[in-house]
Amino acid sequence: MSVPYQQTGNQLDYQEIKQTKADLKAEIHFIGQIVGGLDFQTDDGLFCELAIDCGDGWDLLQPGNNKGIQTQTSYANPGQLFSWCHPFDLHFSVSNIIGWPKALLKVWRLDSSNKIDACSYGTSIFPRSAGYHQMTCETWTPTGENLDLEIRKPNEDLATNTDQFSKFDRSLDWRFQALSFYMENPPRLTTLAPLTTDKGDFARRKILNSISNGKVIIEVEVILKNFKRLSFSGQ
Amino acid sequence: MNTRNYKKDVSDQGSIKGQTNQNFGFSQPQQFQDGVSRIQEEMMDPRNIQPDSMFLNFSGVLECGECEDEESLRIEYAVKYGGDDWTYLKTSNNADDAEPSGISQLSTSRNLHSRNIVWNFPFECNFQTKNIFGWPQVVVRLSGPDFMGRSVAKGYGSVHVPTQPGYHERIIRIFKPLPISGFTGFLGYLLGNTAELKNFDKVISSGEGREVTRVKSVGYVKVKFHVTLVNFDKFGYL
Repeated sequence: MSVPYQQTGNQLDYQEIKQTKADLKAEIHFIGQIVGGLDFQTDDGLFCELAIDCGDGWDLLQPGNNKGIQTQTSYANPGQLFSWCHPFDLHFSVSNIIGWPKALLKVWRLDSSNKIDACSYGTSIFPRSAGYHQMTCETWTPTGENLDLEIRKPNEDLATNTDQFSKFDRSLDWRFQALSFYMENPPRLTTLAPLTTDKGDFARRKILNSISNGKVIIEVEVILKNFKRLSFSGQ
Repeated sequence: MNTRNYKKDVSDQGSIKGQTNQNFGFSQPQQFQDGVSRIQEEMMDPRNIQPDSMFLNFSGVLECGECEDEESLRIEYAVKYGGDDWTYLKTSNNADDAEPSGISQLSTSRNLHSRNIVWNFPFECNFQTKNIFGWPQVVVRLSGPDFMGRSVAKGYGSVHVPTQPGYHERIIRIFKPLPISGFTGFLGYLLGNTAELKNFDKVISSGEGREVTRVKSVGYVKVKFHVTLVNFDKFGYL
């Protein structure tokens, strides 16, 4: 409770600067827009899904639910931008900066028979300094698995065992390629774990083979609160 | 001399430290006379007063833009903001100043070689807030005549107001909703009922419920912003 500012006669009452514990917590606002996609080289409609991955010390205060973002479906001529234009406004309270938020992107394709399928994946890290930033995230499409790599022991050094490796590294899995040619859809990831470094399954990313795909453009403004007071960089 | 000696424990104020309502007028002993003007100056110094809200004042110009093969276009804008914490401060008592929005003139590109259409449409808004969530966005709609001269919407777009003070230029990407099928598109073209967004400012600014809409990119609009932030450093931002 603080006493309101009063002016009585010819004297002014001194209004106290009341500091609460919440005033000294670090908070971050990411305000921006998923602008669109470029260079996807497809005639189908594309839309983007964004999931936010952050560490335990990050608390998403607003919006209340972290169910992820799904944009509208956009069509584009060759060389044109697939315009998604999806605004977002995230308010985090930070008690531990480990696990800086990442945007896990999944681009979906809507083909002419109204069927949706995964097109490509990407990971982008939100900027760490205040101001306006344009994040460009290159995406990749998985084309298959290199299951022979699983035979090796987990800690075996890649450089020492070159014979076994050079033989298997070049063999792209023909089964996935054949299936995707006839079914017209690429293989999909079963989990988003290979996209983020925090979860345990990230090490399995080494068995993936992928092909490059277009890029997703995100414009974001970052507002930091109390970073300077707590001696964190960026503000 | 310690000018803070004027604070003493005022028991009827509870345990609020530093609170005082003493009369610094004429009942004080002579030795405090020097400190009185300094204390009053200190109390009136704006750096010592904790404000209760932040203010955002921005002005700008919707400068120019292009939309596929269109020659004549008009631009309409609305500023959408988070409803609960943000307050739009009106600068006049006109009825059309109730919400920040505006409609520009109908402008035409200069010659056949360039599709650039210039509006040079200025805007200015003041907001009062206690929370950053719900930062204002400028949502625009381009509209113009179709082949029969009826006014139809040609594209939509949105951009957030920049958060850093100073001068900024932004590009708004414009998209147009696609009709559901070729037939409805053709019929809409004839009747002037092309695919449009109802309540475009709410739909575009929130992003909710757009998962099943299909759109196509049609152009861009260049915007210039000038931003001033008030009291943001007192609240720990900036």
